Amino acid sequence: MSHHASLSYLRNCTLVFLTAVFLLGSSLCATTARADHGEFHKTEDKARGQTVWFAAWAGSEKINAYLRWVADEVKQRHGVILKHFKLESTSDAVRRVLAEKSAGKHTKGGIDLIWINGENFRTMKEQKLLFGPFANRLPNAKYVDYKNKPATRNDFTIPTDGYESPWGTAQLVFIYDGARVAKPPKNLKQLLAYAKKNKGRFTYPSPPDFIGTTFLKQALYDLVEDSGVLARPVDDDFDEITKPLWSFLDQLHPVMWQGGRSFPKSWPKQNQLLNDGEVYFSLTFNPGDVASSIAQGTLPKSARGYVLKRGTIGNAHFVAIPYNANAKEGAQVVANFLLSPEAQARKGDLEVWGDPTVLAVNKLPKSARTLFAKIEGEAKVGAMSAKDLGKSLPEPHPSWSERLKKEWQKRYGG
Amino acid sequence: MRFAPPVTLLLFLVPILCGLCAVLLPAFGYFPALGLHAFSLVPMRELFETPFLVSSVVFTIRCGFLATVISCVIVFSVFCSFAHGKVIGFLRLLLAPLLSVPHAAVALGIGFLFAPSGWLLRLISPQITGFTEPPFWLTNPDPYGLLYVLALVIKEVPFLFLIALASQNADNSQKALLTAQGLGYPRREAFYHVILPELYRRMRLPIYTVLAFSLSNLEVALTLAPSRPPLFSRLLLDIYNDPDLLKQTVAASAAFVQVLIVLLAIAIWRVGELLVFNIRRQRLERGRYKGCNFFSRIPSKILCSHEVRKHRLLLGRAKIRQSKYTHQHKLAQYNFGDVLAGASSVGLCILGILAIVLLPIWSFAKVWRFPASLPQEWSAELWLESLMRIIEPWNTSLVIALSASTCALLLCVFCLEQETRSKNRLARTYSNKALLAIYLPLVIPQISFLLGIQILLFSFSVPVTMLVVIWSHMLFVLPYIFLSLGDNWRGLDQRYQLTAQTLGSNRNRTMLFVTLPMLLKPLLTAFALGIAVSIALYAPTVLIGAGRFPTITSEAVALASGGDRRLLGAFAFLQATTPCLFFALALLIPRIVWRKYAFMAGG
Repeated sequence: MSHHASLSYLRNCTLVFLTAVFLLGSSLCATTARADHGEFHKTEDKARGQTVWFAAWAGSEKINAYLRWVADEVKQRHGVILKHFKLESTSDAVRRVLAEKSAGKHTKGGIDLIWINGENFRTMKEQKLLFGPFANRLPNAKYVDYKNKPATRNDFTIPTDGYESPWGTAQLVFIYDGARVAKPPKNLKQLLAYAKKNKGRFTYPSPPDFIGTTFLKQALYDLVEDSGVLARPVDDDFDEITKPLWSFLDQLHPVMWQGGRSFPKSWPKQNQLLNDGEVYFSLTFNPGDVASSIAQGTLPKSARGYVLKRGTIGNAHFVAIPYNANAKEGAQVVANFLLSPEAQARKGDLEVWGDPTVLAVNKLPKSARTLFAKIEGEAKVGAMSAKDLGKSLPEPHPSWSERLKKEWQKRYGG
Repeated sequence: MRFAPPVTLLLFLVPILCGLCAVLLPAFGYFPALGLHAFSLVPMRELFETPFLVSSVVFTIRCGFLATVISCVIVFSVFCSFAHGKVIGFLRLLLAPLLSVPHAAVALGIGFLFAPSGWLLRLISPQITGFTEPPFWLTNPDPYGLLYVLALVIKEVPFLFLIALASQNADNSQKALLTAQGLGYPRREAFYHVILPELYRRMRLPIYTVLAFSLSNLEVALTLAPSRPPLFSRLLLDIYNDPDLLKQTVAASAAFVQVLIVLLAIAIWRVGELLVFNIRRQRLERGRYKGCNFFSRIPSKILCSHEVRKHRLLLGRAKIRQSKYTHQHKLAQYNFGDVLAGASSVGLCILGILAIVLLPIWSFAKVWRFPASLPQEWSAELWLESLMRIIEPWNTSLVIALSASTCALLLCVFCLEQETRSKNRLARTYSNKALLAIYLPLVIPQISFLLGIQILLFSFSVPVTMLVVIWSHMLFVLPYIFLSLGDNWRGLDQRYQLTAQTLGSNRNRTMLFVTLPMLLKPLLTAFALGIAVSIALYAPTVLIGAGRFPTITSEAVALASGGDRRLLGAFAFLQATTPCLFFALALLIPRIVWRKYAFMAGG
């Protein structure tokens, strides 16, 4: 009955809010711009007129729309032309840089900025395919909450060393269909008991999908006695440490969707299964995803997000510049803009994207803080507050992902 | 004209060789950019340690053969049953839209039809089945890969059908069939002895293409194949996408193995052909006629000429003159086999069309949960939002597809004309053999193949322009155009050209005013096929075009990774309609141009 009324009310609120964001944002940027520059000035001058090709996963229309907004802004403010190199998977971009290096194309590369984290970052850094360090030189980097969000410093325990600039944070969130599940299981023992009672209604994306791999790591966190070992590289005791994980999976798989013989290939596919009613659970890395997917219709209105009792794995995602980028200055200007309170606040808005910020909001100037207060004030169906998210656990060392994936494939196939 | 074959080869062979190198060198451990300067067998060894490798290869080959055999049987049975009737025209109309739909869209639609939460079950739930929640059926993905095979068959049958139709128009098969029937053979028997061997000879290359595609495609595999055992193409993709860059060498060796799998499968198929051919020849030479048994249904190749074949038939036939079959009887009626052939192909069409129609419905759905058979809430939001942004990529798609297909068609025409003109038989077969190389892009896994081309382009600092993208599309468009046009061209009765030349027309004039108009229909069909292939291409657009030229397919695939079925529905619909338009034109234009000449306007 009041559904439509509340919707239009929300829309009005958003309109007012957006105008406010815009006004505040422009004044804010004007002030910070003058305060922090100095050395970065030169970069900005060089950047003017450059075209920046930003290689980024393009699977979400919301994110694509956000990037279009960023493109409009950086063009207006800094004269930088930002173009979205739409990708199906980040590895396409990594391979392209590798191909360029193979052909000896060490300058004027096709990619200027790349959306990246974790293993892709590690391998690019190891193969010296990245430009840097640049991240700490960005004026807006001083707002980043390095202290309370350690994932912005260590990407999957690998120190970023300024070779990538944080963009957003993420945390593994379990999604359940509230219409089917009264009380979602809060740890893995409960999950197993639940799955045995409700056969075929749980599943997870098959590794090497990164959500699937994260589920394995998450399960390991919950089952291992001392989670401290996970921060170190894998050692000889891998089999011993992971033994409880495999015995857990051996019990879980037969009572999973398709009897554990097939798995969804990615988390969007699993959301689809949840929406179709085949399974009751899904997983995501973006806490804002539940609310925005409900709004979009890719998840049912009864879908809710939750985290396990002992917390779930959290990490951050970044932007990096390939070593042979053509517009390194432009890329830095864009990376700096992505860190601006205005861009970060807009990104956090569930209507826009719903990706949590990397900034320390309490350290921001007051005017900027109100931007963030506005977003948190909004209540949406399926929205999760910081309290809902609980404790975020650090990513294990990347060697764990690698070994877990390999072992999983050996045991359960691709 | 004389330079057409060498130019084609140059345009193609160099990149193909580079593509091959990009597979072979890293496969044996050579990848300087990663600091690997020495050849080794390490990547191979690592590949063979991959779990489920053997079962994956076996599963892949099994599915590939199943899809190809079923497709062939359906197409040949249809041709046997309805070779020159109205039914063929009707089927052609039904199958044309399927040809223009991208594989990924068909796979998605078929998946949605047969899933435990799929549309077929939604139609009868909960009223008949009592299901209020999806049941635990292993229907999508099914453990045997049957759904995967079905989706492939739905796409392959229209393709083979089109080629068969084209090559059948090319010869005077109808006369041969009537002659055989006149000699007292039942229609089916006559078809298998007289028409099929010739038809099969012309279809061999397209069938190999289908086989290769069934063994190596990714789009359908990602949507419909089970996780365990994985299809080899998916295994390959997983290794490729491994964040550990050193795995690229393992991926290259997997790509190498995939090429081997395809070649092995073609070799097996060829042995099968020869086997069937031998059995058939022995049977024919014995001259005893036993009626229509199992073996006579299997396609075979017969080396001897039409005349000899007919003569043998006549001899064999003489011994059973008292057959219960009579000429009129068989001409007038369709038997059970015919009905089965017709039903299976129509069934396929219906499934395929249903699968496609469901996609646009999805694009208007806001909420559509099991067991509702239609969306519970509708919304046009998605179309309104994306329509404006779709125009530019659509434009790009059209420009690329039109230019790539036009260039490819011109090259094909020149090559074929040159082939007709060259007197030297040896040179002709030689250039024919060399032109086989243009089919290589269909066999080598795209990712590694394109990696090689990328390195080639970077090495020569070729700037990323639309031209380069068009050329990269041509690599994939040309083989298909060649496949569908080649036999028509070669099958055209040369006496027409001879007559024109006797009347004083020079060769170019003859080509322009006799050959091309006579081949209007196959030319347009080949062109439409080229458009369909180009529009559906993803990897070359993104990898060679460096994302600079977004097309509807590159946008669709990128968005698909976000898994919104509705967006996919909208894009798939657009992807399908564009080539469909060209197929419709290919049917329509000859009818209008040749409306006064029934023979030219064709079926």
